[in-house]
Amino acid sequence: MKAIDKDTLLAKNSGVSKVVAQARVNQIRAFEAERALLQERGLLLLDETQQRDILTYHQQVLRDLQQQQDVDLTERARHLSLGTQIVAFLGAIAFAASVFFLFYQYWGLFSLLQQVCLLVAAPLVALAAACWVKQRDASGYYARLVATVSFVCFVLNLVMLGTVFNIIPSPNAFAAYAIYAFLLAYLFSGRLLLVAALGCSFTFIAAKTTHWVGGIYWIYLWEYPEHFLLPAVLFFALPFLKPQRQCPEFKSIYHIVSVCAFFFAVLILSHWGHGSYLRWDANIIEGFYQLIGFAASAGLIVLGLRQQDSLLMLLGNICFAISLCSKFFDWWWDWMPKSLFFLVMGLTMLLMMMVFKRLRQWQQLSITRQEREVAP
Amino acid sequence: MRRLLWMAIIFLLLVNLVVLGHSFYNRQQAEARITLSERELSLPGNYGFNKENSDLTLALSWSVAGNGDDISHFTYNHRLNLSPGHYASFGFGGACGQRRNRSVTDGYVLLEFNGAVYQRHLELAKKHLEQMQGEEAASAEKDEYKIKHAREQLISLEQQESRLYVVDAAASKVLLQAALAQRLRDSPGEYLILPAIIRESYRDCDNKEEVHSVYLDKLFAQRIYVPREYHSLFVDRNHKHRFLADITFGQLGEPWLESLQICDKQCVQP
Repeated sequence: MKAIDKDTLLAKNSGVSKVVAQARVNQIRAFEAERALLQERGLLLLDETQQRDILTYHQQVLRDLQQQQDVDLTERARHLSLGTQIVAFLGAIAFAASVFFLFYQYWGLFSLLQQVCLLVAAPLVALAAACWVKQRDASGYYARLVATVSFVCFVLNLVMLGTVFNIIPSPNAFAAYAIYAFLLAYLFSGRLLLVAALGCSFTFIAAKTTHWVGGIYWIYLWEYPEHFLLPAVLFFALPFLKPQRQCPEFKSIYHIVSVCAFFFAVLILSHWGHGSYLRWDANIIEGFYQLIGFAASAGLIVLGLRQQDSLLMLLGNICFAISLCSKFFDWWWDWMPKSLFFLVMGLTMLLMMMVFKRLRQWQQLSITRQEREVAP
Repeated sequence: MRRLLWMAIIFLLLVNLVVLGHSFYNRQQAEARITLSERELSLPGNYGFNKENSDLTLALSWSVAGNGDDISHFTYNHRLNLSPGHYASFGFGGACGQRRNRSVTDGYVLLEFNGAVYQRHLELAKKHLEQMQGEEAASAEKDEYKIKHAREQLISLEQQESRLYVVDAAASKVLLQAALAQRLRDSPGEYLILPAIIRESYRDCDNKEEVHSVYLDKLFAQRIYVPREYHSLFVDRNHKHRFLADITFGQLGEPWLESLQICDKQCVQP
């Protein structure tokens, strides 16, 4: 194997996201372990030059990925990096709260012009700071933290301008928050920012549909959970329609947030039919949404199986279990002896376990069959 | 990435430009001017999170004009009876027996300041006190509490409570402007037309009468920001200051504070 030109490697690895880079590292580590095992059992014979070339190549790839994306090269580093992520999340929230209360405490001391200048400048300065930090920190944790502060500054910017000029609240503010949060999320690969962007988008779409469909003033958007169903479906489908190549980790965020919004709305409607636009009897509406809840969670499991996406399957399982437990509680809690109630619950979970085991066997069989077809 | 960054910067500037332009447009033309006192504009409480709050906003206090001779209609609810035409302008379904799912929409309300409705409210309070005193004199049982309550209610109405009353509502401003012209002929006074959130009122299915009433949820211009130059007037926020504030409402119905003066002793209340 020829000696690897470092510049070529850097060029090849540049532009990959952290998730892709980490997957590549995991692949190299798995290859090394498997190679060692095969050599030990005498199934793979590589001469010294070949071994050295592969090792040099892998070491260089790992070094470059570590420099560019700050990936975890060992299992211990992976655990530490998870801890850093949690701390970064808590730090972002604490900084955001600090900025909010700082404004709150000293806001009244400034003149109108100073207030306007401060409000306009705050998110811009924080954005510039986030970009500066990003250039100096490969991990991206600090840059994301500052970007979150920039988003909070922008929310404060609009809220405070609204207060100072006594502006009538408008749902369009949520569209502005959502757009800025999306821009920041894709700029800094910030998952928390994407969650904020999705939350603001849900609120904006629900507020607009409340006004257009129901003829109701937008502030009362929470009274009709059906407004959240359409944006939930749209954002769930988005990663399928537009694959997230730049930030593959965003796919799971889109799915988690959309599924949570959808099932929360369905769960409310399955217990409170009066919150629906449907002109049916409340009991029929509740029954209808119970069916929707079960069908959608089952559909999610099937989709997860087809897409080989463990997250979708997990979400489907959780939603199915919550729907089932809430219905059991609704039907039997009052009149059934508690011992019998929990026995029925346990038996149902046992039944679900059997079904999932069957599904797993079926999936593994289909994978084995596919591998046999591919193998010569 | 560079493109995204420029998009974010341009977006931030553009949004701020739109918000400031909106406010500038509102203040280009004054739709109404009114001088209100601490009775209509209340200061926020100085406790909890507010203790750390350095800014100051005044909350607009208002009541709804009651109908008939029942004083409780003035005090305890935000229900307003409308003319059939004004009620129809909201396009409410009018379904009975629905405590929930009642429509809520944005519209306009006509407010009267220190006018005929306030005088009627005062008269009713006086009549109520006299009635209580008369009942007590005729009865063997003494009920001091009811009389004390009625007397306090009258004093509060004369000296402390807001004199701003919602007297009419409609979905469009034009409808209210026509009603205002009529009202100005009958009882001249100070009036305001402001945007508000209006809810369809509950109707019992046993009640076959046609009801044209609505509930007023809130006014959009509920809070008015106090600029820094007036903060020094409210050094002690726990003290109940007496003041006069000139409020102007712009062409989008958004208010601002034109001037404010403390008048604990010297100035005459409107």
